[in-house]
Amino acid sequence: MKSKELLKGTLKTMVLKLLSEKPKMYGYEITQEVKSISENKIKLTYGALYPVLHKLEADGFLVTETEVVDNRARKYYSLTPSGKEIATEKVNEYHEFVKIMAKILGPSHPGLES
Amino acid sequence: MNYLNKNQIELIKEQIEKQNLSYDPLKDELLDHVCSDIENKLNNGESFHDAYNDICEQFELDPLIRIENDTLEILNKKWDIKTKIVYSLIGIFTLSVLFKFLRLPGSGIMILFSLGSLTLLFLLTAIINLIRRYKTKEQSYLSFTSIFFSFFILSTLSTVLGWGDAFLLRVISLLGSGLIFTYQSYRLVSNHVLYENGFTMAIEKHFKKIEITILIFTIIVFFMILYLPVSPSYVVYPLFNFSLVLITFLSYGATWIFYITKPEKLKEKKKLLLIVSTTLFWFTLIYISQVFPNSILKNIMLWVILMGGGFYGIFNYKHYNNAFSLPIISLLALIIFCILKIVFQLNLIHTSSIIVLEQIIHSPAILIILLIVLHLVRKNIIPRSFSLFLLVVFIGTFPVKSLPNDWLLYKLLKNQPHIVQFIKNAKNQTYNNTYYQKLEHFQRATKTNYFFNASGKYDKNAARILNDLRPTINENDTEKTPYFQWEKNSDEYYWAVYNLARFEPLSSMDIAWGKNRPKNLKISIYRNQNWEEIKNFKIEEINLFSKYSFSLVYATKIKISFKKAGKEKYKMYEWNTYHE
Repeated sequence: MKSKELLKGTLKTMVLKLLSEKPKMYGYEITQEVKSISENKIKLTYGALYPVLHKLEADGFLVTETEVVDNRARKYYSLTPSGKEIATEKVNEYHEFVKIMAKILGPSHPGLES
Repeated sequence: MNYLNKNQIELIKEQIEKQNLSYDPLKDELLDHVCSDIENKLNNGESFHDAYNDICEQFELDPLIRIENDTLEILNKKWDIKTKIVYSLIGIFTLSVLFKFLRLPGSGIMILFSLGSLTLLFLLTAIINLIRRYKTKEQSYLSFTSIFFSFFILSTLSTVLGWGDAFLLRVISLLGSGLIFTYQSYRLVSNHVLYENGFTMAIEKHFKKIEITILIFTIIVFFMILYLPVSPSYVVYPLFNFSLVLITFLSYGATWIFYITKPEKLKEKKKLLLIVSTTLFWFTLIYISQVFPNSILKNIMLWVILMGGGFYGIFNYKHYNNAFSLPIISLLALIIFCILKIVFQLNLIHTSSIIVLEQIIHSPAILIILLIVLHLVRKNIIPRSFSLFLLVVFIGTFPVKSLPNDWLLYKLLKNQPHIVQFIKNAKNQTYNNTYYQKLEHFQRATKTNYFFNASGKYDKNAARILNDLRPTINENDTEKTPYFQWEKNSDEYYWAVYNLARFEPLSSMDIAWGKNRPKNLKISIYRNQNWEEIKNFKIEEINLFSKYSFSLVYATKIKISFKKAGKEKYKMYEWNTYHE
């Protein structure tokens, strides 16, 4: 299982990225997608997911539509134009961050050795 | 591919409904999520029964209400700034009280600014809460509480600044918010998910509305330390109780009602709830009974019930942190009080010290100290922010209020053993002492408007009581006629001296007078530091007189002065409130 701290910091980016790859997704679908891509290493709980989805919606990055599927209402999320922008921005930001972290946490740095 | 049928979906829906969610957009979504999860499990060969039970267990472990709270918290994050503003304003208000005591400039404007801003802020919050998009039912209730509370602050501001006593506004505001809190408490504990930890959660949830609780508390402390002219004891004390404990009582009360109406929903160990809730309910009733004259029975009830509840609390507090903090505090206070009583009765130490200590123990400050000590001993027994606030109030107000007072009393009593003896006798005969009863009745009467009926007309029955109480009434009496004039060295004389010594330093009265403040009154025996002179005074006369006008708002004039060789030397206490 991955660190909760790390997950918390990247959850928004994950959700935005997944939604940028599909026209629309619903909550459970997102958790399953994360589970599948991460090969069961990341299990997104509804407790973590829904607050983020609602926040993104309130910020205007997501829009929702509700359909009745299998006798119940299902809420689909999709990115707004500003959501698409922020998704790209967040993903790039993350890659940049990973690169920097890799440098810092990589093999020892000669300059820093005493 | 397996899909759930309507009945199965209904079953899950019921389970979600029981979680008491009130933010509807989340409810439907969670239903779909859970249904999808169960369908997935069915496809993997699990039975519906097992999958459903798994979900129920998951709800127990991670209640949906937490998700709702997280969601709303993240949505409303920007409102956090409001709490910061409220705290700052309360800080300014507390500081202004301190400024007033220390006679530093700027306290008046600070009071106006802090209380005025708070009124506006609460009103604005209420409106914003009502119109904002993301909210729970609870937040809607809170909006109304905010409105009621802004009324309360407004009435206080009006009183403090001498614009007139908005008593009705205050009563409406307290009753209104009290009802809302009661309803909310019931709602919280009747939630089956919460009842397992219902105690603690319900109370913690209430304490989250800390800005309301602590503000009432500050204002009450303020009322108490200043002895505002319009703060009769059984308005002030219930208000104090409201601020500090009533909300908790209501939570317990609601739990108790829940137990009575739905006993099957409480597990065996929750019988504890009944015991403590009943205890606290009794406690509330006893407080209500304060409006009646003292009785031995009432005191016995208070002791037995509080000590019972307190002991139970001590034995169980590890399991129920917050729930038992109040009984524990009460018990500790009572044990200390009890020890003092024994020491007092057995003459183990100097009697005057005991009287002083006894007075300290009655002070709300002791409650605050106990809260802080308990908090230090056991973390999280009360929310940290609440303890911190209490600490601020304590630091800001307790030394100013209690210490000079007690010091004065101690000094006074130390040099006059006959007064000590009188007090001791009076205390032993409190309930048989006709004079004391008379005085008590009189004080009670003067501190309320019950001589006047609702329409403001003179009430004949009340007048009869007043006349019965008055020692003498002559046609020629004017407001300058001493109301009580006691024979030197009589019991009444000493009783008056004793009461006199308990009055606040005059400097604290300034604030209460507002614009009606007399200009030339500058007597402060503490600040002048002329105690040597005062203690050697031979007290010749003590005057205390009151005058009433026959209207809902009344004018009072009370004057107590020391005289030396027929010349008024020190006025210890004088106030005038005139409402045209």
